[in-house]
Amino acid sequence: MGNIIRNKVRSIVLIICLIAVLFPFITAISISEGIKFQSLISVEEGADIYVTEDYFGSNAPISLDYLDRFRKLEGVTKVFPRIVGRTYFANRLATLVGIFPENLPKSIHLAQGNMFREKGDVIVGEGLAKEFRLQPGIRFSLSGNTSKLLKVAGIFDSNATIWSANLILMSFEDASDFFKMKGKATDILIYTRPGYAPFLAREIQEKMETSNPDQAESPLRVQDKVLVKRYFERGFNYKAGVFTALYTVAFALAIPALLIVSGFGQTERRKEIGIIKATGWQTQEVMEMVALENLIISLTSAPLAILTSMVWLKWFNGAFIAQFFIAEIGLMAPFPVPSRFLPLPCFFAFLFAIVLTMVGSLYSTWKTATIPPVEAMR
Amino acid sequence: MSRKIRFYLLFLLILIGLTVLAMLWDQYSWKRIQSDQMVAFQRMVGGVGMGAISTPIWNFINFDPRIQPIDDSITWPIPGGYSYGPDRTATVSYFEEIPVNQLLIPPSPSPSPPRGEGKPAYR
Repeated sequence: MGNIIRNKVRSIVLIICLIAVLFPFITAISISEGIKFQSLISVEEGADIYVTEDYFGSNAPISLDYLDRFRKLEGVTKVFPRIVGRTYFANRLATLVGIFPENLPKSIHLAQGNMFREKGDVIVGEGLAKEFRLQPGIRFSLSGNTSKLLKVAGIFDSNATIWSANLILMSFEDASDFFKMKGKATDILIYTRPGYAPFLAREIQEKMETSNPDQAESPLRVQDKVLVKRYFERGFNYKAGVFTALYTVAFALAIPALLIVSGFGQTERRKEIGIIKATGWQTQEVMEMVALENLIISLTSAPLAILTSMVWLKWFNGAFIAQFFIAEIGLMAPFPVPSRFLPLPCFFAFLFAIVLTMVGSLYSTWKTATIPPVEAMR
Repeated sequence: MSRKIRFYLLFLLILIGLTVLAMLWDQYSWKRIQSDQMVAFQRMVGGVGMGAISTPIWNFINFDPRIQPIDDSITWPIPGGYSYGPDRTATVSYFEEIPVNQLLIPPSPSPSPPRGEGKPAYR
């Protein structure tokens, strides 16, 4: 401990370097966990089955004629169509969602205004509202369909999700008019009784196609919750694994490279080891001293990196750095950047710090400690 | 133990304690405060959004693979190179099409009768 305080500059530089390499790792993993949490809610609270038509191997709009057929199936509790499309709001790409007004919950909290009540009413995301200074009551039309006049009825609370920031929500009828796709939906959402979903998914896939022998309609594409959960698991675990692997390599290279390239403190350290060896210390005791030093350095730098990351993400909303991990948000995110600091990644950060400081110092210390003290002090 | 060492140890203890407390507060805030809004929103729209992107730029698969589970941006003919969807940056999620086995092999036909014994098809 005394050694760390005595070599103040060396210790501070080492701690700063460790914070610099741990900070992006902790930030990336915590943003990943935050989005994962929101994404899981999206999966769990979404429908049990999503049905679309299949045009040349891609999802395509589905006819509303299917609604009644699906409602008649055993085990189905609710069926509703929705429209999810993309459009530009001025120069900002927005997601446009159309739902039946019956789906509106009684208790959703909006930042401003109310849920839509009249034809043409829309709820806009807080990102769009901030950028274009939208307020409830403002009327506008979009270049996608200039004849369709819309009115801001409310603005989403920024705490909803990251996907609501640039979203325009309207009634199904309005969305249908806007995209000029009457009688079609992007997908039909089916909610089932527990345990029915896999069977119903298979039944829909097989029966609906055979009940249409003249093949006037395209085949259906059915996605059940099991498949959607697979998207979710693969989508996040793969990238988290890539991040961990990349950062492990980065760490593994950063500390020894820093020590080798800069040679910072090496002469000093050699002399120090030579002196303590000359005063009667054993090699094992020297190694223990260095290991303890590394432990304390790691115990200092890992919590500091966690706290820095937390302050940056929670207070400064991940300014400048969040855009590397969440696409298309710009320097300042228009919504609260989701981040979760779970114990395991934080423990990994500490573990990385200790392993790498050990790797960077134990071998060189042992090499110095095993040569005669006079030579080490020279 | 010198005064400086005691001061450093105290600093270390406070730092670790503060970090643990901050992480506990973070867990609490996620569980208690934020999830209600998210649940209400997702129930209302039937589940929209899955990936680490706020708009469906380039393709829908990064935004929500339920809406379009294929990456159609790679099929665009861009002269001089590959098209760069946001999933090829450092975003924390990556969705790819899950292959579905659509191969159907019909049962093999019964062996045809020996030549000259079977009736010609046109009779």
